Amino acid sequence: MNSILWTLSSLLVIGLGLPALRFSAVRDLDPLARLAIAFVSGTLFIGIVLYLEALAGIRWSYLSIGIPLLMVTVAFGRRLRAAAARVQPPWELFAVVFLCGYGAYTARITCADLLFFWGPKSQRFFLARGIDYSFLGAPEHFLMHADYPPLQPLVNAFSSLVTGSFSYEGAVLITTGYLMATALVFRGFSMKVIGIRKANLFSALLAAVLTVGFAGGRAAGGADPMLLMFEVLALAAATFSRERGWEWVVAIGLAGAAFTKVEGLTFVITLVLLLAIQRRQIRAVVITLVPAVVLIGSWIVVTRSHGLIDSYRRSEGALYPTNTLLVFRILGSTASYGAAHLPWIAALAPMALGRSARRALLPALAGLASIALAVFFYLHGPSPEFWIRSSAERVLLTALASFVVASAAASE
Amino acid sequence: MPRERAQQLVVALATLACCAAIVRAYSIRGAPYFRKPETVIDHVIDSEHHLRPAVLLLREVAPALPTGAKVACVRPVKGAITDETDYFLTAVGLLPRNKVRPPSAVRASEVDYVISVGEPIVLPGYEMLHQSQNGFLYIRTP
Repeated sequence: MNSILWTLSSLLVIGLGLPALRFSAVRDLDPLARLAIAFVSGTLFIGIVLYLEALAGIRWSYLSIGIPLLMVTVAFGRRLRAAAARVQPPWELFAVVFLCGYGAYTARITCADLLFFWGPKSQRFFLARGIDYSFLGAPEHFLMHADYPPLQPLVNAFSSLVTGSFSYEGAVLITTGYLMATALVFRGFSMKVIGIRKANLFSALLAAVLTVGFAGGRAAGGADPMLLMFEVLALAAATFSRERGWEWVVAIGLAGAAFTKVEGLTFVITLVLLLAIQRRQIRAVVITLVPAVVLIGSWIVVTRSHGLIDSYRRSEGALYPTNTLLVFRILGSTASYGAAHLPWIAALAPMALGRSARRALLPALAGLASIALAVFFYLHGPSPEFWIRSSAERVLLTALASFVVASAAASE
Repeated sequence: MPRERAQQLVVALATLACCAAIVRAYSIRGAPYFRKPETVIDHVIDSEHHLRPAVLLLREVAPALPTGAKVACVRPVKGAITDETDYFLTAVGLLPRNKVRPPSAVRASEVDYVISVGEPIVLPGYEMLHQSQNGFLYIRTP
């Protein structure tokens, strides 16, 4: 029961995300998409609130999280009521998300890293009522990647503060919520371009492809479902929206991605470069980048001041180009997801029948770039086999999601 | 068939194929299918996950450990303590009110309690406090 309550408590962040519904790019979207955007934004904003309070030395408490949450929810509550109107449920999407929920609830898709570091960090942050640098910096905890972006443990600590304890089962189950938000955000943005029927179908496809990935890569409870939620928000807004304020929506997605995982940072750089080339709106492109840079930049400064830097040096290590064939071979076999590469076929096949290559170019290139970057990072290991086999199925989910977005864009 | 309809059919079929792959993956990971699992790793592979006994044992012994006590969780092999980090990291998360130390601390006799997953171990200066099918808990004798 606690796990259900813990999971449901995560929905409280919707209140904090309501200000994001002010942007023109969001205002006209489908009600479910607006609700999902409020959830995605709220997830980032609650992380920022807890992060800033920790930096300021404020001990987290009901008051410290309740006051900002209540104030924003009351101030923007009208937008929540508006978002609840005229809902057209995408049943095919709900059916796929139910499958993911079943897998999470019956412990079939759990990420081992939940036990090794996401869980311990979340637990410790919650009990310390702040970011526990002595815990992160302890030499015996070096495998927990002390300087890894902290959004996931911060958000988990929020739900733990609300319910009074950390729930491993809840941390797994919330994957279902992240998947639902991911698909609804994509559906909302794509609907205006490809129509509701196709948006429903493609959002169900996105959820299905990602659930195969979650099952193959055992992703639930890790940070990848949250990372994908932010990445898809940014990618969907960048691909489908031409409304005013699109850049702010992309900025929320990119800031969330950069603050969730190191891979998110490479996604930020890729998407911003592609946007700069494609849209050539300097001011808008700068807006998409700044929140991510400020957030992750401040985190790097903070961790450096505590002597915790480790993860951001990975690309500085020696490159092993002689491993190229090996990396491709292992990556190729790992990317089958135990399903004969079905997710790739499913994500790319609809593109063959598409007609709008122009709109599909951005997400397609983002997907290709994420594969290229994965190869680049894996080339930094002298013996990369274990590294690839233990992480590639999750790392490649960004490419898979990008290709589904590209297929939908091509169907315009 | 118009291109539009063909594309929608492809998307629908791709989704169904993925759903079939998900169901297959779930079914391979074994029964029971409709009962709440005991741990979050009960069905992640088709056999018992190596950490499952540790998660169950840590839950069993947690109430017996005083807050702040120094604890180590190890998985001995033929009675010898290994430097396996999985058990240590798992214990850090599941015993948040204790100071969980790595396996090397057991050899240096730096811990008050030793949790031994699976096998018993012979530890001079410690006596057994708890025993179950998942493992053993030892306490340092004064």
